[in-house]
Amino acid sequence: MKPNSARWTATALLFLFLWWVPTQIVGAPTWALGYYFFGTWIAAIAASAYLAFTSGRPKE
Amino acid sequence: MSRAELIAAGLAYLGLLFGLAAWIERRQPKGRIWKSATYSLGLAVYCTAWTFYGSVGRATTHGLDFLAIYLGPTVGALLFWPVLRQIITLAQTYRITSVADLLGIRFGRSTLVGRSVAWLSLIGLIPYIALQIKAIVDSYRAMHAGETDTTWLAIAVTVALLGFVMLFGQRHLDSQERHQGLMGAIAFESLVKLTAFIAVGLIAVRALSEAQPHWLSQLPENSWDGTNWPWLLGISGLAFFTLPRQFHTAVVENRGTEDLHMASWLFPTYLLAITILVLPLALAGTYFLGTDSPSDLIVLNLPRYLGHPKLALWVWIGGISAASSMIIVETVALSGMISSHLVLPVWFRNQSLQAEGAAARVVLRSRRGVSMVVLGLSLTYYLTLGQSEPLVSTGLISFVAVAQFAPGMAAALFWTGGQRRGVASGMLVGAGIWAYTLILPSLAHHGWWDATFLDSGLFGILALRPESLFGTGTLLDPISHATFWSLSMNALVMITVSAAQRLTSEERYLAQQFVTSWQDRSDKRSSLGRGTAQLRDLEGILASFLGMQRAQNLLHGYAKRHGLPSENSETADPRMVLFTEQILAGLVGDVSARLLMRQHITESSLHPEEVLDLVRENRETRDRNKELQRHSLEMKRAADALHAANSAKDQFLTTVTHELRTPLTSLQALSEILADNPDLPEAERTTYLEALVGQTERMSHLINQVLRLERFEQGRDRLKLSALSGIEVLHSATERIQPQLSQQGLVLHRSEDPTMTPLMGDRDLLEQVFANLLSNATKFARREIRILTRAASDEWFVYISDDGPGVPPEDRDRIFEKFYQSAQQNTTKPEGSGLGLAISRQIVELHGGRLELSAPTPGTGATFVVTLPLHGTQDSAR
Repeated sequence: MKPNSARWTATALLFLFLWWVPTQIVGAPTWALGYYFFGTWIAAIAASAYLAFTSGRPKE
Repeated sequence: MSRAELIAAGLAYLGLLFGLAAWIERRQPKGRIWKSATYSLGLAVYCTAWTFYGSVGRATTHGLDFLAIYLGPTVGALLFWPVLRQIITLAQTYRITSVADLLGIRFGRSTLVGRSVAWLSLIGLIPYIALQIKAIVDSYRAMHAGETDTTWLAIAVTVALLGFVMLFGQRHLDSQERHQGLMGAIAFESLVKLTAFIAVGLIAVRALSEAQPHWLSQLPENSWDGTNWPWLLGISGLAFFTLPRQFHTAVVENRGTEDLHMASWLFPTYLLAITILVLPLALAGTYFLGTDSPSDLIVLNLPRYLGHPKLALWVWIGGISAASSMIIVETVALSGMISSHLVLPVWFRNQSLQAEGAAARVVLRSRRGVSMVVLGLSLTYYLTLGQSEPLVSTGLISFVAVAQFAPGMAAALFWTGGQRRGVASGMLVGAGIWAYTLILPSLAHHGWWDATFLDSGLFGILALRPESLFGTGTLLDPISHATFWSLSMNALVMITVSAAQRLTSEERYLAQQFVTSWQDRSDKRSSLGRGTAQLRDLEGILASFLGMQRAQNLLHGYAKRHGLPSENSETADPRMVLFTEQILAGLVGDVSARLLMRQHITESSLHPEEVLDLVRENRETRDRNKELQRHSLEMKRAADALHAANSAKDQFLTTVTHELRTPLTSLQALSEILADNPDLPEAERTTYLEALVGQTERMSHLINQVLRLERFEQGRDRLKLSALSGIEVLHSATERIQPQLSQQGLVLHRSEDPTMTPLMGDRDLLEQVFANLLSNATKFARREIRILTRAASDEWFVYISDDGPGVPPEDRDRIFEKFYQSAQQNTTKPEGSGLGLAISRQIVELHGGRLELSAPTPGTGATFVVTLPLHGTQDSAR
């Protein structure tokens, strides 16, 4: 996958996880939602860092 | 805490900021990590007093909703590389310094679009700046409870920050120049607010744990319903790209792609760090301070309640950091934008050229004057309207305002069909809905407007109720409601009007440049250099900003770099005209630059078709360049392959020649001995003749081997396949080397698995392989050779081992190369052509098998393993 495609895909996935999934689990306890959001957040940072240091360097 | 102590602490902190910025401006630190870290922390200007105080306030009333405001930019961080980098490249090419520049230039250098963005930014962000002043004043009141009239403080803070803006944010004439001192100070403030927030958060967690050991499992029931979540997430993600201060820090202050790499992970990590303790803080605030305490000030009141006055002072300073950094950067960004789009064009339209250097003073005064107006309006808003609004709601109202630029920005970067009237109409409709659904209700709630229309709707039409358009107010909160209607109508109007309008040639050209620059980032702007002017006029225009000496240096330097006449020329080349305009655009903005240039140049009329040709030509040139690049790459690959093949051929010829020369020398010497000595004794003559035959056979063998290998490699030798017993083939090969074994006194041990099924193969060739391997083994073995066979379900393994010196590790990968043995000059060379292993591997691979060396440690002998498939030998095409 090309670097920019990887970024767009990761963004779309993250958006899905942060937009659609939470609307499906509105009844969950607060602590579970908290873990979910912060877990997703850490995953997003990891994805950003990974893409920055690997595929995020297309040829100038 | 006393008034004097607070004022002293506040002044000391401001002094530190001024000192730090001045020190950085003077020293200009150059380290890469320093620059990238400063950039990333500068982006954290996103976290204002609203974050510092307001997020805890929102968490107490709306639960986890506050997270969306920070998760939105985290999603956006993944797009730093493809989107932000694109904007940065365009900004450098077109000397863009604000969102108004970006949209104005992109949509046919439209003053309408640029001005719309500037006005909406001003209107939308004044309450947001006022909110920061409110945060500083409220926090002072919380620290010094006795004081009720704090107008003096609001004024003092505004004046102090105005001084900072003028000193460090408006010291350069060129808007594109980086403000190292300013950015260093903002990065420092980001660290101060983060550490203060984390410190108070940890104190809250400790206090909560002591008071309620199981607080984590006793969290209040989740009241979060998720309805507004998507809208908050979207609006926050968009705000990161559309807020003027974010555009300024992310685009104008960017120093290269390395900055983006660090920012793409450091910035979301910062957001995570500053929000992870918000929920415990909200819980601790409610638990210790009660529900009557103002939720926006929990961060400040909690350490005081828990007996940590010094921490409270630190938190107060952290709050000032959060608010002041936003005020400073937003004011710098707004004043530059408004000056370029609303003030300077009016000035330059009515004024002739200034004396040398005078125009520069006009530009700087204009920016400083606008800064005064912006901060003055913000202060007025705070003193009149803004004192009772909660922090978060004001911030979100501003977010929705600047989000109106998002459809235009998306069209600017991705859609060539966007048209200036379409974008401006969309933005104005979006702004109108924003004002109708958020600003009017806010004024009505404050008693500035008759509130009855909120319930009855405009003209008594219920479907037009400001907070519930077409009844959607029951589904969404006011912010989500306004976001949905304003953005969707904005985009709809933009698309509809754009589709109905005809694009001008300039719009088409710029659309092509902006949208296709995804693929090709080279500077294309030079192709539009069409005007002619007198060189001395260009010097005069620039001199009025930069002084004559610098103006001449710039123009003559440019001419020299591009091989253009300048020294004795009266008329300037069109490229120099364009260069002058670009310099001016960086100083006064695109609109004013064009106004100034029009006074002194004769523009060639650009026929639409001519521009279209230009665009077409540009596109074709780019396509041709790509094609050429592709061909060039292919040719380079072919040349590399040819070079490698040529080298291999040279090496091959050298080795073959060397191998043939050795027996030839012997042949010549032996023949000469026989010719020169006709009386040689019969026995001696026979010895020489036998040696002659032996050398001839060696040459013949070598030539046959070379020819055979060549036939295999060319695919001209085909296998003669038949069902055969591998054991029998192995026995035949063993018999062939029996004389050598006896001659050298070697013992052959065999351990064969008799259960194997027949295999399909070429009997002669396989026998040749085993004979080669056994022959090799006899050359190196000291006492014995071992043959082991093993049959698996679908493969047959033959292990041929000797107890010789083994193969050195460095040679293991090369012994299957042609003549490799011959090339080894520093070891005792056993007799042989050096082709046996290469040929053997070819034969085995033609049978679909493998020939490998398995020698665990040097000095313990060598083991060659032949693996042949028992079913379906792959003779493939051969």
